[in-house]
Amino acid sequence: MATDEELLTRSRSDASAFEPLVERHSRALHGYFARRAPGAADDLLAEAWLRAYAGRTTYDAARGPARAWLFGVARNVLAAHWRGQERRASVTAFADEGSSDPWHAVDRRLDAAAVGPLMRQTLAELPAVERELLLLIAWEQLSPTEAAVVVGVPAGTARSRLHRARTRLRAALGPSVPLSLTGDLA
Amino acid sequence: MTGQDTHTDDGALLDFPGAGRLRAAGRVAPPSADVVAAALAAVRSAADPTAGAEQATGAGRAEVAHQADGASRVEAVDPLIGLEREPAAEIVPARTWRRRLPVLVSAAAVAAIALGATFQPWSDSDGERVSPAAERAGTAPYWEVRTLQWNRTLDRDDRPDESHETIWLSRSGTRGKPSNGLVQDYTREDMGGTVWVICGKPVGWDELRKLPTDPAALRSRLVGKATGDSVPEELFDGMEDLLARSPAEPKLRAALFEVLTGIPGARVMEGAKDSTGRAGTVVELDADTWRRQLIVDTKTFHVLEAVNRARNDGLAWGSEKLRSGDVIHRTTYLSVGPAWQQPPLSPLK
Repeated sequence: MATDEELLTRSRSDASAFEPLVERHSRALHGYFARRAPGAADDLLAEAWLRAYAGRTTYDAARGPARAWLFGVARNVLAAHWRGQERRASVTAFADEGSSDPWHAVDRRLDAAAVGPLMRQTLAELPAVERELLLLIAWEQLSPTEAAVVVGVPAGTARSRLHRARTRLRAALGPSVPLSLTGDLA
Repeated sequence: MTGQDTHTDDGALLDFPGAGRLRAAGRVAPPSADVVAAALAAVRSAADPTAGAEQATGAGRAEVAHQADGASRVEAVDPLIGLEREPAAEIVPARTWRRRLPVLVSAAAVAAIALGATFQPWSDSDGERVSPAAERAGTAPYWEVRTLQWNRTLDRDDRPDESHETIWLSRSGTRGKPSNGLVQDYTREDMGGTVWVICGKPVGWDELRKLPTDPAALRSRLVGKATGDSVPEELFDGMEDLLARSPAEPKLRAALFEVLTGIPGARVMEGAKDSTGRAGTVVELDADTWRRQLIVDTKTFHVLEAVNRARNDGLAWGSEKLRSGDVIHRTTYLSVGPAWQQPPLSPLK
C-alpha cells in the first residue's frame, strides 16, 4: 500500500492519488474539528480537504510526514473559522468571551465530559501553544515532533513546552488533590 | 515518518493526574459516510470541475481507516557535551539595574553596529561560520542557532536527556537538525515563512526591522491588546524567542532587553554564569511552580542560556520531590549568528 507521502507526491500529476488520503484521514481530521468547533466540523472537513488538494503541489515528501502537514492545513482552516466567528460576533454585538479562541469550545467539551474544574482551570492558564501541543498529543495522537510541525515550532521547543505543561498539571493536580476535584476516574 | 529525539520521556508527557479523563473527553463520533463522501466529492469536483454530483453518490461508501500513531524513533548520533548537570549559575542579587541600563544599552548597541558584528559565543563552533565582513545581521539569508537542551528525567537512573539541535531560520521558514541527525523543515509550507509569536501575535522576518526601538513603544507594539495573568510569561517567552533565535539588530535587541527587564515581577541579577561558564546577567520571572530564567550577555543582548527551575521545595517530578532552584529544563545557546547556507533536507525513510 502506498504511503501517505507517496500518494501526496503522486497526486501532483495524478489527482486520483489524492482520494485515498481523504479516506484514510477524514476520521482524524473530522475529530480535530469536532473537538474544537463541534457545530461546523462537517463543513470544515470539506474545506480542509479542498485546501489540502489546492496546496498539494507545495508539499514535499522530504519535508515531513503528510499527516502533520494535513493537520497544519486543518489548523489554518480552524483559525479562519474562528476569525470569521469573531467578526460576525462583533458585527452582531453578541460577542461572547474570546470567541476567536477555540479554547472556549474545548472547555465546554471538557465540562460536558466531567473533567474537573481544577484541570480545566490549569489548562486554561497554560500558554496557548502549550495547550495546543498537549491536546494534539492527547486527542489527535500526534507525536511531539508531528505536533511541533503542526504548530510551527522547533521540535525541541515543543518538547520543552510539553514538559512544562505536564509539570504544571502535576503540580496543580498532584496526589494531594482529591479525585473528586480532578475528575479523574480513569 | 520523521524521527524524534531520543533520550526523551515522550511517552510520559501525558503522565499526570486526570490525563485519562482528558483523553476520554476527546472522544468523538466518527463522521458519517455522507460527510466523508461530500468531502471526497468536493475534492473530485476541484480536480475535475466538469464532474457532477453523481460523484458524491458514487463516493458514498467511502470507508475511513482509523489513523494510528506510527511514530518511529531514531537513535541519536550527535555526541553529548559533558556539561554540568546541576545548576551552575552563580547569582548575585540584586542592584538598581534599570538605572544603569540605558548607558549599557547605548554603548553596546553603538559598538555592535559600528563593528557590524553579531553575537559569537561559539568557542566550540564547527567551523562553518561566515566571514566577519558578512557577519551583519540582515545580510545573510540564514540565521543559525545551535543549542544544547537538557531535560530533567523522571527517574534518577534514566539516561541523561540531553540533545543538540541546530536550526536555520530564513524568511521562508525554519529548517532544523535535531539530535537524530535528520535535517527537516519545521515550518509548514502554508505558514508564510518564519514568524516569532509574542503574546499571540506573529512577527515576521521583515517586520523585525520595522519594530520600534523605543522600549515603551516596542512593548506596546508587542503586547497589543493582550490582557490577563498570562501576559507577563507570554512576553517573557516572546523576548526569549526574539533575543535567542532572531536576527534582530543591536538597537532592537537593546530595546527587547529593556522590555524583558520591565516585565512586572521580573528580577535582574548580575554576575551569573551559564552552565558553560560564560558570564551574563540573569533575568528571572516566577511563573506558577516554575522560576524562569534567561542568562543574557549584556554586551550584545543575546541569550546565553534559558533555564527553568523549581520555584519552591516539594515540586513533584516523577517519584522525587524537587528542591527550590533545581533545574528542570535548560537550553544553552552554543552559537548564534548569520549563515550563507543551510544543509539539504534528509530524505524520508
